[in-house]
Amino acid sequence: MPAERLAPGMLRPGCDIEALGCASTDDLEDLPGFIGQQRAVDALDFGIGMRSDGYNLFLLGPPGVGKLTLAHAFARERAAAEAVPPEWCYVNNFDDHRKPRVMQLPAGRGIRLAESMNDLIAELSRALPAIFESDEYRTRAEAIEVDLNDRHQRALRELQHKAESRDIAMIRTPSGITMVPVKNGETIDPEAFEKLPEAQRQRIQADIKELQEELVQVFRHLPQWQRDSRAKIDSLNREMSAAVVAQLLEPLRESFADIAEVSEYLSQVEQDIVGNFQLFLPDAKQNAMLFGPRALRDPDDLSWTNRYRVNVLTPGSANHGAPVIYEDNPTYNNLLGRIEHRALQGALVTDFTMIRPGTLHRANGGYLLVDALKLLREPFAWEALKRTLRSHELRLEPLGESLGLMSTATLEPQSIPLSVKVILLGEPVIYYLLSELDPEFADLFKVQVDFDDRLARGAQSEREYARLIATLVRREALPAFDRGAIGAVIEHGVRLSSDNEKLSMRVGRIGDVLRESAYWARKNGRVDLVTRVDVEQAIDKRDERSGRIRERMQEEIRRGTILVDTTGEYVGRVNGLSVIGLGEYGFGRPSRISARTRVGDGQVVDIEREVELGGPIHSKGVMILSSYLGARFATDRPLSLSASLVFEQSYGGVEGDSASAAELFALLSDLAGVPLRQSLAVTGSVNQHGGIQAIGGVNEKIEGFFDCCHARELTGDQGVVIPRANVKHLMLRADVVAAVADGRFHVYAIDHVDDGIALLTGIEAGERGDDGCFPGDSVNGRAEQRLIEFSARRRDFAARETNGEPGGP
Amino acid sequence: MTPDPSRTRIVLTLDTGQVDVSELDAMLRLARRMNADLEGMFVEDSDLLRLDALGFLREFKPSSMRVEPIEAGRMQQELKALASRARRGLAEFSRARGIEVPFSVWRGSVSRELLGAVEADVLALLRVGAVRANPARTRPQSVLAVLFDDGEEAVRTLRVAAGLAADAPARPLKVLACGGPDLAEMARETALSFLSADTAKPVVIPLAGRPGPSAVARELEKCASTVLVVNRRSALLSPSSMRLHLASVDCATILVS
Repeated sequence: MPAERLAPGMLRPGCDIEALGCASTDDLEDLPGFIGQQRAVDALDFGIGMRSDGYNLFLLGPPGVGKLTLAHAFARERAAAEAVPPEWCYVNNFDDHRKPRVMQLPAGRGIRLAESMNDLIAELSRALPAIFESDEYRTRAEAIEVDLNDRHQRALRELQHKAESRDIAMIRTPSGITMVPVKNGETIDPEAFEKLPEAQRQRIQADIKELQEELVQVFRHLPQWQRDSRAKIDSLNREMSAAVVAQLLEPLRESFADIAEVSEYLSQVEQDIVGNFQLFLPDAKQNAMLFGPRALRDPDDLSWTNRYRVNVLTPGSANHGAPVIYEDNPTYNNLLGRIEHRALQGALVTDFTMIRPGTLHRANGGYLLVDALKLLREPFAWEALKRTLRSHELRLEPLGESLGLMSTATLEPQSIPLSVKVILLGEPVIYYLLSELDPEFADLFKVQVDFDDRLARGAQSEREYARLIATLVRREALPAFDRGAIGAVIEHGVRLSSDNEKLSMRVGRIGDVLRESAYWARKNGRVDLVTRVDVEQAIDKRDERSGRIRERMQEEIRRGTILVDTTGEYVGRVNGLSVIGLGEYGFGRPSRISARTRVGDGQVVDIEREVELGGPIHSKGVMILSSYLGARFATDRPLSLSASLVFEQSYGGVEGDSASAAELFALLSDLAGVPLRQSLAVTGSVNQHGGIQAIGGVNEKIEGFFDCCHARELTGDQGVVIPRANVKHLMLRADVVAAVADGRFHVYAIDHVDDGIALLTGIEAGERGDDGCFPGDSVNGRAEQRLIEFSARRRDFAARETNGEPGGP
Repeated sequence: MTPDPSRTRIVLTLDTGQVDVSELDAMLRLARRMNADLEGMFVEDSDLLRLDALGFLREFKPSSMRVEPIEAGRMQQELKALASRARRGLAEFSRARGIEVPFSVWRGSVSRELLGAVEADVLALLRVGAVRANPARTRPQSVLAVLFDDGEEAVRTLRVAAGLAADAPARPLKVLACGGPDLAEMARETALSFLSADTAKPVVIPLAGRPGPSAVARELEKCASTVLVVNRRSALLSPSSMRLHLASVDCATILVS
C-alpha cells in the first residue's frame, strides 16, 4: 500500500461537544465513583475486605491517577461502618517504672480515665495536706509522741527519784549525763568525798555504778520505743491517707467497675498513694518527724505528679468508626512513635508520660496509607514496618538505643497488639522492584491494586470524563467550564494518554489544567465561565513555560548551527526525529541521519554504538537493518557491503529504535545513489521484513519537525512520515492540523519500507519480477545492482589476494 | 558593752548550744512588753569541770550509748564548742529579726553563784540542767506556770508571768500558790488584774507550806508545764536546792528579780 497522506480529521480526532449533552459543567452531576479503574476498584474492595494475615495492599500506578483519593475514599467508607478501636493508654508500672504498662479501654473511656486521674491528683493535693492538718490527726499524732516521751521521761524520772533517795543527782554534761553524789543539794567536792568513811564511799560508788547501768538501760530501750512510736505514727498516717484516698477513688472505681484491668490498676494506685502520701504534702508541710524522711529517689525516678497520670496514646471518639490515617512523612519515629526525654541536672530523663504515639498507634484498628517511595527513603522505616506487621505488635524501640547511639536511661514499654491494614501507594516500578528484591514483600502485601492510567475513549466515556471534570471543578470551587472548554480538556486528556482512542486517567494533571484555565479565564475577564480559549491558553502557556530548551533547539536549527534541511534532495541523508524528555514535558527534535556505503563484509556500523553513545535498543534496530538488507538483496550471494550510520550533531546519546526506518532509507538512498527529499522527516522502526512499526512520542516528533519548517517557511511540500500503526495515537496541536488542512504541511502513514522510499525519492521502490529481479530503474533495483557490483569487486579482491596479485586487500 | 542599770534586763541562758527559736521569740515578746533589753548568756558550769577529780564517775553519752570517764579538759573543749554554737545561733536569730542581742559567757557554779552574779530583772534558765529525751518535741506549745509566794516579789513575778501568758491567751496560766487559801485567793485576784480580758482565766493550784523541788516538779508534771516563772529569791532556788530543782523540773525556768 502506498504512503497515505492523512486527512486533517485523522490528526486530531476532536471531542464531539454536542454529544456531551450539556452547556457547561453546571449541568453535569458529580461523578459518584471512579471511571476507568474497575480492576483497581475490585482489587481495593477485595483487599480492604480481606481480614486475613498479610492482605495488605499496594496501589501501583503513575502519579496523578487518583490512587490516594480512591484508597482514602474506599478506606473511609469501610471504616465508617467499623467499630471504633479501643483507646490504648500507658500507665505507670508500680513494680518497675522502666516498663510502663499498657491498658486497653473502650473508645472515650481512656480520655475519661486520664481526666479523672488528673482530677484525683489535684484533689489529693488538697485533701491529703488538709487531713494531716486536721485536729484529729494532730491530736492522735501528738498523743503517740507524748506517750513516747512520757515513757522515756517516766523511766528517767523514776531513775532520778531513785538517785535522789540515795543522795545522787543526775546532771547533764555538754555531751551526756552523769551521776554525782550530792549533799544538801550540792555536789560533793572531791576533798569532801575523800573525807567520807570508806564504807560510805563504797556505797556511793556502788550506787552510782548501779544507777549508771540503769540509765544505760533506759536509753537502750529508747530506740525500740521510738520504733514502736514510729510504727504507730506510720499506721496512723496510713489510716488517715487511706481513708482520703479510698474516698476520692470511689467514684473512679464505680465509673470503671466494668473494666477489670482498670479496677486492678486503681487498686495499685491506691496502695501506692497510701505508701507515698507525703509526696502530696507541700514542702513546707513536710515533717520528717511525723511523716518520715522523703525517700531518696533515683535521678530518673518519676516525677510524683506524673506517677498517677494516664498517657492516652490513641484518644478515640465513639462517633467516628475506625481510623484512616495517611502518613505524609513516614519516618521511623513518625510510624512507630518515640520516647521523649527532658534534661534534668545534665541527664536526660523520661517517663511513661513522654511516650508519643506513632501513626501505627493512631491507625491501629483501622487503615494506614503510606507513600511507598517516601517510606523506602526513610532509614529503618521499611524494616520496622515489616517487623511490626509480622509480629502484630507495636513495640517502642528507640532508634538511638537500638543503634547504640544513646546511652541514657530509657523505657521498655509493654507492646501493644496491632491490627492494621496498610495501604502502600507507589509507581509500578517500586512494586516490581520490591517484589523482586524483598522476599518478605509478597507475604506482607498480598493485594496488588493496579491502576490504569488510560481509559478507552468513546461517547460514553467522554460523557463520564465530562462529569469528572465537573466534579473536579466543583471540588476546587472553580468557575463553570462551558462545553467548549470541557471538550478542550477532554482533548487534552486524549493528548496526555498519547493515544487518540484513550483518555488519560492522570486526574492530577487534569486538575492542574482546570485550575490554570480558570486562572487565565480570570485574566481574560471571564470570572464566571471558562471557555475553550482559556483552556488552550492554559495548555499553551504551560508548554511555553517549559519550552526554553525546545525553543533554543529550534533557534539553532533555524540559524544553521544544527544542520537540518527542510528543502532539497540529498543522497544518503534523511531527517530523523527523536523526543527529548524533560520531566513531564517532552518535545520532538529533528536530526540529520546520514549513511555511507562501500564494499565490505556485510557489516552495518552504528557509529553511535561504536563511541558508546547508542543504547542497546538503537543498536538492535541497526542490526535489524543488516538482516533486512541481506534478506532483501543478497539471498544468493554474500552481502558485500560495509555501511556506517550516524546521527549527526548528536552528542548526548541515542536510544530507541524509532529511527531505524529513517536509517534504512538513508542506507538505501546511498546504496542506490538516489537522493531523498529533505522536506520530509521520518519516524518509525523497521522489522527484518521491512515492515514499519509503531513508535512512541509521535505527536511531539511531528510537531518538532513542523516547528522547524514553520520557522523557515512552510512550502507545502513538507511533512512527516509515520508508521500507520501510529495513526491512532495522533492528537496533534491545532496549528499543525490547520497547516495540514491548508495543504501547507503533510503527515504520511506507511506500512512498509517500500512505501516510504517511494515517497522520499519519488521513484518506485520496485518489486521483484518473475525473473527474480527488481526493475532496473527502481530504488530496490539500483540498490541490488550496487550490491552485485560490491560483491563482484569483493570477489575480484579475494581472487587477487589468493593469486598474490597487487591491489588485493 | 556595759549594761545600762536604768533599763530592765532579760537574760537568757543558752546552755545547750541549740537555740530554740520559739523560746527566744517568746522572750523577745516579753522583752518588748516590759520594754526590756534582751541578752543572751552561755553558762559554763564550773561544777562540771571539777567532777573529774572523782575518778569513779562516768559520763554516759546517749547518742553513742557509750560510758566514758569524765575528763575536765575534754569537757572544757565541749563547753567552748557549745558556747560558740549558742553565739552563732543567737546571732542568726538576731539578724533575722533585725535586732541586736548581746551575748556573753558566764563561768561559775550554777547552784552557788549564778543567781547572785547575774544582774537581771528576768533570768531565763532555758533548759539548764534538765535531762530530756527529746526536748523539742516534748511540748509542742508552752504551758506556763508561776510559783507564787508571799511578798512584793511574788506580785512582780506574777506580772512577768501574765506578760508571757499573753502569748497563748487560750491556755490558762497555772499559778502554784505556796501558802494558805488566803494566798491562793490573792494570787487569783492579782493574776486576773494583770491578765487581759481576752486571756483565759488563771488556774490557781494551792501548795501547802513551802514545797521543795520534788514537790514543785510533781505539780509541774501534773499540769504539763513547759515554763516555770519563779522569783529569784524563792526558797526553791536556795543554793541547797537549786541543783536539785534544775535537775528535777522538766521545763525552762524564768527567774524574776
